[in-house]
Amino acid sequence: MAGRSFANPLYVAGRLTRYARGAVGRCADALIRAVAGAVVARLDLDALVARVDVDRVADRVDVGRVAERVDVNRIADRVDVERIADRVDVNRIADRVDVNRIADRVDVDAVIARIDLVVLTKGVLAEIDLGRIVRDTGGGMAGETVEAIRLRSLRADRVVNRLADRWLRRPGTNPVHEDGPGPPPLPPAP
Amino acid sequence: MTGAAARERAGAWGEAAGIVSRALAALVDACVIAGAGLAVHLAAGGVRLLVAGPPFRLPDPPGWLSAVCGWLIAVLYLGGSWSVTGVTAGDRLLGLRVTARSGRLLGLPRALLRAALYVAFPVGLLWVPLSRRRASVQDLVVASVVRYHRG
Repeated sequence: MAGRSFANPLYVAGRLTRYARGAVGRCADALIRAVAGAVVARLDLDALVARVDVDRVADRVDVGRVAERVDVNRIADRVDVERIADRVDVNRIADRVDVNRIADRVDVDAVIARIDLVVLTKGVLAEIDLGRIVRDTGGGMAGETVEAIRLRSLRADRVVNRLADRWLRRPGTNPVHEDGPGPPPLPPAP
Repeated sequence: MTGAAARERAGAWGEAAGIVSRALAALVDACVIAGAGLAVHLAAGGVRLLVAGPPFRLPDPPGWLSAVCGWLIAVLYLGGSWSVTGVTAGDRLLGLRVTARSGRLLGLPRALLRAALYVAFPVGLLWVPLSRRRASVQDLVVASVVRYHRG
């Protein structure tokens, strides 16, 4: 215990030395801060920045190497796409798009030249089965026409029959049906 | 076709057909017979081309031969159709069917006789509206009847 006693001159010297180092350090910090503040206050940062050749700095930056170090997937994971999408006003963007101008710049002939119209047409025809549509439509129209002719001729028959019955002054006859050979005989006239 | 019209047509099935339907059917049959006659004429020209060689020329038969051929075509077409199916092309278009009064198909002799009478005396059709049975003169002779049919 005698080693750590104030009676030990080495111990006292060590303590004094540490104290002195601390005091000097604090003084140095205060001095540096004061000097730095004074320097910064006197510096013309705008003039300093104006002297920087940004292009030369940019030329020395290896963007590819920086890009290689960027973890794009990690950044993408942190992006809230839904929130961004909610904030996008699509209608406003669409209103600002000049469709006619875009259309004017499209080379339609070149697009058509790249399309195999024969294959495309065959595929479309196979998909919609045009032949069946034509058959159904044609058959349906022909059937309806025939039915219309039959109906009109039937009505015309009845009109003619009524006129004939009236002209011959006889009551309307009961024409022959499948289930019997003609109408029953009429009662004798009074 | 509407439902009411379809019901009206269906309600007439089995009724004796009137003169308008039958005249229209006869008109269609006349066109068919004319087409058949033309086909026979062309076929005769083709046979002549095969036998006598080019050029192709349609034959120019005497009038009596044309009349006989046309008469034969009409009688065979009408009689054959009525005896086999009861309907000619015109009957099918107008939805008619020719049968005996019993409802059975006409036999070939009766069908041919009816056809011959129609070709020889088509005016007999005008008796239909005057007849209580809606029968033409030919129907009265061969005891046949023409009805609306669902076909």
